[in-house]
Amino acid sequence: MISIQGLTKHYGKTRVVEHLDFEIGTGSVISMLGPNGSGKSTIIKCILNLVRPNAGTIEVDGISSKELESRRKIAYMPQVAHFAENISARRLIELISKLRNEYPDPRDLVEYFELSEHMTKPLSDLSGGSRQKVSAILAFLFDTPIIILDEPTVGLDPVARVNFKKLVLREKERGKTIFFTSHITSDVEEVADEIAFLLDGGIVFRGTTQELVSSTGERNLEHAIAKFIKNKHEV
Amino acid sequence: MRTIWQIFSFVFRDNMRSMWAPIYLLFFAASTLVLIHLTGSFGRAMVSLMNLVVIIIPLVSTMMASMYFFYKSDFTYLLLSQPIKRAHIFLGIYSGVAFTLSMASVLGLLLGAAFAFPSGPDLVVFILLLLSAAALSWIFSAIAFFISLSAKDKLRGIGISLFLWLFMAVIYDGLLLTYFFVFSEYPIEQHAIYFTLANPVDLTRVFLMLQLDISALMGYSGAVFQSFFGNAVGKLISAVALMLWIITPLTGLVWKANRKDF
Repeated sequence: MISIQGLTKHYGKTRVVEHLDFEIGTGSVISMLGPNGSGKSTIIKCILNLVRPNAGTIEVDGISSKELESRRKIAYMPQVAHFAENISARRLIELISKLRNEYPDPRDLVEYFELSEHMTKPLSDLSGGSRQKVSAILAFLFDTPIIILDEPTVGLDPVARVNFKKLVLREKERGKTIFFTSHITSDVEEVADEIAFLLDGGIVFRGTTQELVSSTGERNLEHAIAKFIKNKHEV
Repeated sequence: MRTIWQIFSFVFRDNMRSMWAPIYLLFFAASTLVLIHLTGSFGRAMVSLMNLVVIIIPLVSTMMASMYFFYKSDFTYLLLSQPIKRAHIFLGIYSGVAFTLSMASVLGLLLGAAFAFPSGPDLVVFILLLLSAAALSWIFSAIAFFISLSAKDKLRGIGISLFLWLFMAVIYDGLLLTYFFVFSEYPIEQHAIYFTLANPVDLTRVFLMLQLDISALMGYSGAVFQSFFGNAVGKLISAVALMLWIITPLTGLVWKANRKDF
């Protein structure tokens, strides 16, 4: 599980995250929603220790996020996947396996994402969607208890998106904790147990998608989110 | 070391499969071949090759290192999210880029000289030219990586790196000339040595000129350089100065990498 206590992050005078307390329980799928610039990516970067918080602590399975070992518990799928362009996906997977000193067999995932024919091609020859699939393979390949996905379905075609969501649910059944951000509300509705709504650096709502929809009186999640943001800004 | 090696070999392979490394290699091969052919002697071609090495290699190393840093940032983020030390990541990427640059320039010079391969004193000078080419590649890649990591954005990173190249390759000499002109009535010849040690472009240029036995072109300073760089201690100090030009930005790179928000 991930435990965030009093997380604060400023970039110069801009306060991105302010005194955030947030816990993600083991075996749950939580989606963090919020408008652009609300701090979602910063929180993910803080969990991965890519960004140093100004205050607060983050623990990943009981290990401080400052420790290298915490990253062994996490697999991460970034928002965009422009990796080394001249190297094949197979080589990239080999590199990450060597760096982690973990050597799982990627063949099942490669076949699942229908990438078998593309594994030896340079990444620059792959479409954006195929690169995103390579990124997904890297996220699901290692047997980590936590998987963090930053807008994972952007660029995927409908078939790949469906397959991706099935994979997320399969991993959840295996007891993994999945934390993801997305602007695609249908993805959130399908896979998230809970949503955490982030606005101006703090969580303003946490609950199920149905709870958010009913609290706003709107007919679906997309409209509920729009109304929620509007209401909060008016307040 | 294992992590640095793994990242190094990956980055090296990535660079070797791109177009720029072979083009860079061929540029040096063709330039060497043409210069030897046009001047008719290896010794005379060396002067032009020296100027090519001390100007072009710092420029290309600066550009390629900065561009690799900024255009492969997603790859860096992927590495940063793995359970490996930041210092190892950046040292691995740096060494992969710097090795490609030094290897391409050295192999290019060798390939170009293959048909009229030097012997005797020319061979010694040519070996020193190859070493200078390699050293300048490693030095300017290290400086460019440090500046890129320290800069807030791509434009500033590449801009500052390019300005530093311009300063070291062109402006610095202008400032030195002004200094020596203004204070020409004072015994400041020794200062030329300190100023030379402070700039890797000048250091390699002066060092190579002394080997080419054209120090007379430098006037009285040439004699001062000859007495300092011509002996073993001077050569050792020059080598240490060049090493420091690699170690210092790399120390800064590691220090900055451990503190930076990505």
